[in-house]
Amino acid sequence: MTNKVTIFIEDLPYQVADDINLLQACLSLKLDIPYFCWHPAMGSVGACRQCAVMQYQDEEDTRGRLVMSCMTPVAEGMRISFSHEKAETFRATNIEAMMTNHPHDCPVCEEGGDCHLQDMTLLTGHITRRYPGTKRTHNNQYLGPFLNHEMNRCIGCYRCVRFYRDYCGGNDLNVFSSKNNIFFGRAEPGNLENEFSGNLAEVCPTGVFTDKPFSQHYIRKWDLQSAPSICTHCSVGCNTYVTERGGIIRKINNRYNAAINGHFLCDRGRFAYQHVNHDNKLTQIWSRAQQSQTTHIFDNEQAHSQLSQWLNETDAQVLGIGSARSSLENNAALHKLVGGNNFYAGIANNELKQLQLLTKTYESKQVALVSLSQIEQSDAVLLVGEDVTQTAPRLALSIRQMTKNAGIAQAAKLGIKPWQDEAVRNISQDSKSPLIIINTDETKLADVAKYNLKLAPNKQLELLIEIEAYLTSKYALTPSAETFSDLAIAIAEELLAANNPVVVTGTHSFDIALLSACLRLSILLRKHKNNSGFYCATSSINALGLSLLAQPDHDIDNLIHSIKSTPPTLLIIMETDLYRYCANEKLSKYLDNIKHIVVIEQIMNDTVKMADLVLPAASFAEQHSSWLNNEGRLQRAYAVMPASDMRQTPVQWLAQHNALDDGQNLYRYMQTITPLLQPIMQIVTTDKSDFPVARQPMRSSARTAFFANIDVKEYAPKRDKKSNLTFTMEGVAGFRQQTLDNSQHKITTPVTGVWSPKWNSNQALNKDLKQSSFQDEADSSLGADLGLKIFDQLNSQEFTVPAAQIDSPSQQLNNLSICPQHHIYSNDELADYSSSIQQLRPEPVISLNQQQANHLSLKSGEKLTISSDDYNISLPCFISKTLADQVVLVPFTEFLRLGTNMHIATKYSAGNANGDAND
Amino acid sequence: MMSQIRTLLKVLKHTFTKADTVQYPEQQPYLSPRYRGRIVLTRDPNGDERCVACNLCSVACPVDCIFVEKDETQGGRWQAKTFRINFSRCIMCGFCEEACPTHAIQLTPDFEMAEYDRQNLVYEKEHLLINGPGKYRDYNFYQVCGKAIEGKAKGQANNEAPPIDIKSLLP
Repeated sequence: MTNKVTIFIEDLPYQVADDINLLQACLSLKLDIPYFCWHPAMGSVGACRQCAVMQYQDEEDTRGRLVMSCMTPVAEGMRISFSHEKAETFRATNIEAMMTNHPHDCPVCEEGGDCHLQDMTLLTGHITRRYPGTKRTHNNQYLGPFLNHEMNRCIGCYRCVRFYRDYCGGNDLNVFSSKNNIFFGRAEPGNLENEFSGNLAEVCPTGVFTDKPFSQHYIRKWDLQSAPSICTHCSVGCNTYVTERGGIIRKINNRYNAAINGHFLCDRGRFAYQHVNHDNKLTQIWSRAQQSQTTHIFDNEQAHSQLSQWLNETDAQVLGIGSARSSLENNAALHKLVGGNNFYAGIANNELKQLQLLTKTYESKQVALVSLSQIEQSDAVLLVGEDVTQTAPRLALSIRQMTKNAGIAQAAKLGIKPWQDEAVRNISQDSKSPLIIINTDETKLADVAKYNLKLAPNKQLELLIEIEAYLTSKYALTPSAETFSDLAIAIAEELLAANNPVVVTGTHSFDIALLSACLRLSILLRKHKNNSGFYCATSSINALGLSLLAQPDHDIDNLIHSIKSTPPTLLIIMETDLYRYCANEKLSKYLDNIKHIVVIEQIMNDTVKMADLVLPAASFAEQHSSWLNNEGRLQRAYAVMPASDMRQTPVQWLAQHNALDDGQNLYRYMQTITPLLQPIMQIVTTDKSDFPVARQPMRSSARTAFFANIDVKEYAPKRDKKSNLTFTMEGVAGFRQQTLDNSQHKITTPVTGVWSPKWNSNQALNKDLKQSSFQDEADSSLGADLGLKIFDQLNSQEFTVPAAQIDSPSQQLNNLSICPQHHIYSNDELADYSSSIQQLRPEPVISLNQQQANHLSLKSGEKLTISSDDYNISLPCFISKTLADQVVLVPFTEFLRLGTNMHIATKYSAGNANGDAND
Repeated sequence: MMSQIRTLLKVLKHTFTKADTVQYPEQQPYLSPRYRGRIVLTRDPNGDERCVACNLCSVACPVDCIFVEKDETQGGRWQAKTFRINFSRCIMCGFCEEACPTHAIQLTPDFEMAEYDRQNLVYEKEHLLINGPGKYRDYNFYQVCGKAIEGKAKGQANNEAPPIDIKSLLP
């Protein structure tokens, strides 16, 4: 709880929270205090000297003294002056000195118009350069496909290295040289290795680091149409602003959500949008005539009559495949059309099993689902079987912040506030909150982990079961005589010593036994630690939502099985590339037996090529949609632009045929499928507000010239019938929404962009945030946008998580486990279409450790073949020094296609492995 | 009475004054070089396009009739991929010229742009670009700004020190 104190600014009293610094307090009062180095997530270091104000001892004090407001805690009765001449001169001279080396290139800078330095320079009134000397220059570096580097623009605030090194744990960006010559970059030019490097473009107050893909289709900020959206590239569900002009997505910006992403996004989320602009995106309705083998372009009417003809055939047997990367609405529409029995989830069998185990457990409320911000505030994390940096990157960043809490707690004992960054780091030194990682391979969180265990899946399971048994026996009335390994005891005690330990796992191991062991452990832990939490990363943004709609065992594996035995007359595939899950030859053979295949898809892929009718689907940026993230948080995303050409949402395509008009009926139908989706109505009603809200910023230039090449006549802008957002600059501007909010008029849609008078850069956000401290998000003024947690709203259901069987792990082959290898830039299907992400995609290899390679008598780079029933892959092997023994890692996409029944085909015999594994 | 006579005299006097109107189009009036007429895009003294697609003209335009889209050459110069002015909207206010940081966009003393078809008043970049520096002969933006382009490395712009060797140990 934070208390309010009264401070006097220019002799006027103001109420502010007592645990923040003076700068943050002034900003939350909407005062324009310039600053550079302070950041709400990274705290203060007082490096830039820009936020100077005069502080007075008491009412009699007329002389005062100059203080840096970011380094000054607020205190009761504090008296400060912001506009005192001395403070004003100090700030003006300071920025003038910073600007002596600035290169005069705003017209050719991507940051121009979105630049904190521009705003601050104007705030202090520095307009002309008086310094006659030469400007210091620097050579730039190549920093990879995500960022441009332009060192001349640097003002030396150190935000980039503090973010990259201290916050994200990267070590390839650093500061070199001294005094005026300081240089921020890498030792050698090359790709930035950290998964959060894209944030540098937002963190840097000027244009040293700018968004490279954005620069390739550049539009100034004042012309960017933007709408609140949800990132669809992993299961975390980070909040984003998608920005657009002329039907092209230009850039993804972070949208502050106190419970999830806070101020930062991962690079996959930031740069994976390019599939929406891709050349291969589907924009036409295609129909293939069976006899002539020719493809025709259909219009809407033809498509619908074709579809209804197929649906109403006398012996029609219709199956539908829903998608984990499509919204809840789209899946529900398909669910209605084909019926629950014929609705299959577009995910693998073992994953659906995992997901339904999760939902059952969540429903029973035996585990407490935590958000990313709660993980950041927790004090111990047990991370099992999931390389979160690769599968849910933003989660990894939160876990990394968690490890700092031991130091923050130490500092708090000495009365040092958490935002006093340098002091906290000095006090904490190497003390870290315990992070225990149990995984097959070393992860990027290894540098902050207390235990970093690399074990084969079955060993992981054994360890978890041992920890569970230890906890059970410890709290049992009659302690059992079992003995436990030191490791299990140490981990268990570590968790028990914490106030709110969190168990973090994921479904990416495809190992249901491991998941149920984690759940059981978490349930047990919660009995003794009421504050303990649980978090499970799933594979796609809507995987959990899809599993709510699908019946058990209605997944791709079972679908293919059923197609094989009794092919349906009509198969409707929605936004699922079946060839991702199934080998080529086998699948094509089965699909050929189906009379009609309808594919609703955004982009050209192998499944689309098999279709008889292709209906182009709207992308995430072209539809209003609801998404359920992995913690059961229901969030609403808004279209940023009207759907292009013939594209429509699957809901719209199917509306004529499933008798669900596109409105309330659909949501009512969702509520009937599962009571868990009851709260969806609350989310949807936020679309209705008393005023229209503008997607475009107030200054949207070139409106009468943009389409003038097509027709000089100006047509009315398209209208958005489903929400109060407009595709123009007409309506309430985002920054005015909060002032309008009162009991009579309400705008419930989230603001469409970050802007505040005089603050054009994204730093304007800091004038809207009213959080009491940078760690306590509950009090955020933007709290309305946090989404709804569906599992919190239900009465708990009885459910017991089945005990994990040690022998059950899949892909066990003698003593060797084949596990999927995940990578941030190759895991996600749609992200693959992004050219900048493609450049960083790793070469597919099969990884194994030296010992394993010796058994298989393999050398690095030699090809290893792994086969399943009717698919095999042959990839060069990579000998890893960090990999656990008895584990072979296969690229995730290949792992999916191989299915469950895989084995190593060459250079390996069962007897050999059994014998040597004991070495 | 007197006032009526005075009025008559005044009118009569005006009969003999020289007419301000000219027999346009046979006779062309004099327009000063800074007259605000048809907009052109100029080139720098080296013959390269001056426009860097910064969008400042577009944002200054009160009728929003300028659309600019950025492109980048191999050498790192920013350039307009699209530069479109809808002259059917243009009010010849000259704000764009004032806003232009590179002296690329300039207004000329030509106003004879009438068309039968309004669509013909939409000028693309190729219609706007001229082969000279216009009113400002010597200005070259890339000589002033610190961005390196092909043919002008870091430290070679006006008033710039040579690039820092960050590996040097000298103080």
